[in-house]
Amino acid sequence: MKYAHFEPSVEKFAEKRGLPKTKVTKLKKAVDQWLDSVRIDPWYPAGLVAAESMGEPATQATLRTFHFAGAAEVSVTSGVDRMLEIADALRKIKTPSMRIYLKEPYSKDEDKAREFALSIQETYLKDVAKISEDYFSREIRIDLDEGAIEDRGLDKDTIVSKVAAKVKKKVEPEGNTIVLTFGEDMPLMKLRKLRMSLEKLHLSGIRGIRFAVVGKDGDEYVVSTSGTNLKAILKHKAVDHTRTISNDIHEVAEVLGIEAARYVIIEELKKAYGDMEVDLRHFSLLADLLTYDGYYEAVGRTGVAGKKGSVFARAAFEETGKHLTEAAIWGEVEHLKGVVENLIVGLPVKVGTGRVKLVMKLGE
Amino acid sequence: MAAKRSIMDHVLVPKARILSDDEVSALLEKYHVQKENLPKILEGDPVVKELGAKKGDVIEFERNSPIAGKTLYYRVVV
Repeated sequence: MKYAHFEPSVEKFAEKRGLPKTKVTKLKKAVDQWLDSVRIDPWYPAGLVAAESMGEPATQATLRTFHFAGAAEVSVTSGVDRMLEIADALRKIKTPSMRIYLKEPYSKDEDKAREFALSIQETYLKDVAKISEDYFSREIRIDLDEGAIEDRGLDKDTIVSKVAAKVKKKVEPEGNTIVLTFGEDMPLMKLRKLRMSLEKLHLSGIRGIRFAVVGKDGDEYVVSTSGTNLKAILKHKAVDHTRTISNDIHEVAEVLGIEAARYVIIEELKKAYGDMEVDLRHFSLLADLLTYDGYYEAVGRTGVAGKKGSVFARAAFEETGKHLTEAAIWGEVEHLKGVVENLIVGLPVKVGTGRVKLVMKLGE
Repeated sequence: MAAKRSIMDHVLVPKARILSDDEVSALLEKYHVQKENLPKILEGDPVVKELGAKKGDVIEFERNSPIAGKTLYYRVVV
């Protein structure tokens, strides 16, 4: 067969149907022919078609608004907002999220999965206590919230010892209140700074993970998070490090490499488009383009469009004056090979039939 | 208990290997390109580090495409 990687599935099909040898060869030929017919033609403007195929549904999606109901859900940006985030390669996305697959027994036991979710949620002192300062008596008062402590699966003694380690002195709690008293010579500025750093005292969990909930995927429990820290999570002993994934493409590129980031771009585009059907090939073309230089870059003037070889193509996009003057200074040559350049000067675009020249053979 | 965790085990990381010099020249011949025209991959990329590839090496990725089955993709380390 010409398309060798289709051979196994064709043979499997033939075996299932019990086709005789001659028919199998015929079938293979037919499949080859069909595959030939669906191949794109020479000079087919694949990029233009991809752009239009993705752009048109996006204009429709603008009109839709998405709502999230229910408290125990991790919300994820979708629709046009998310498409923009992906195409512009934003470093700070609105809703970074991870989907954590667990190893057994965590993946089969709901309680264990819950326990895990709780343990990775980052908790700072300000989440479980009210901290106030008193300049007159030079005191810092920490009022612990028992309910919050219990919710987060912590206990009071560890918090007290962590506070003690932070302020480097003995701490004696009275009930739920810790009072730290400092001497007269304590500068007020230092007091305020100490209060602020106490608020950010890390108590438990993995940094970056603000919220984690347990959900179900097939017959196993998975944890969805708001906030990401893929590197730390992949090292966690309860986590299945082969499937856990983040939706922060920059983070994936950093932790798993550019090829993995390419997959995530495609997956995230698929999610952003939702039920609007766009062919996967358009997504993969865009993903290949965004990762071409070895890192994840935006489509805009700093990325793909700004690195085009043609002056006119760059000038037609953004910063027209800058590109034209720079090209004049450096003596850049315009080869008129792309689409935009030829549109500007009014020549046939070198795509499809604009690319081939026909010569008539006379006398035959 | 378990062996050292490697990012190469991750489902999203495609199988990768460094091409030998002969394979590289055959590849460039086949596609009529120069090495610098190939898609790039950074030297600091986790996969490059895992393979121990150096600048100028060409890495072959075996992608699992839902459309075309197994496809080969090449990136040159920069």
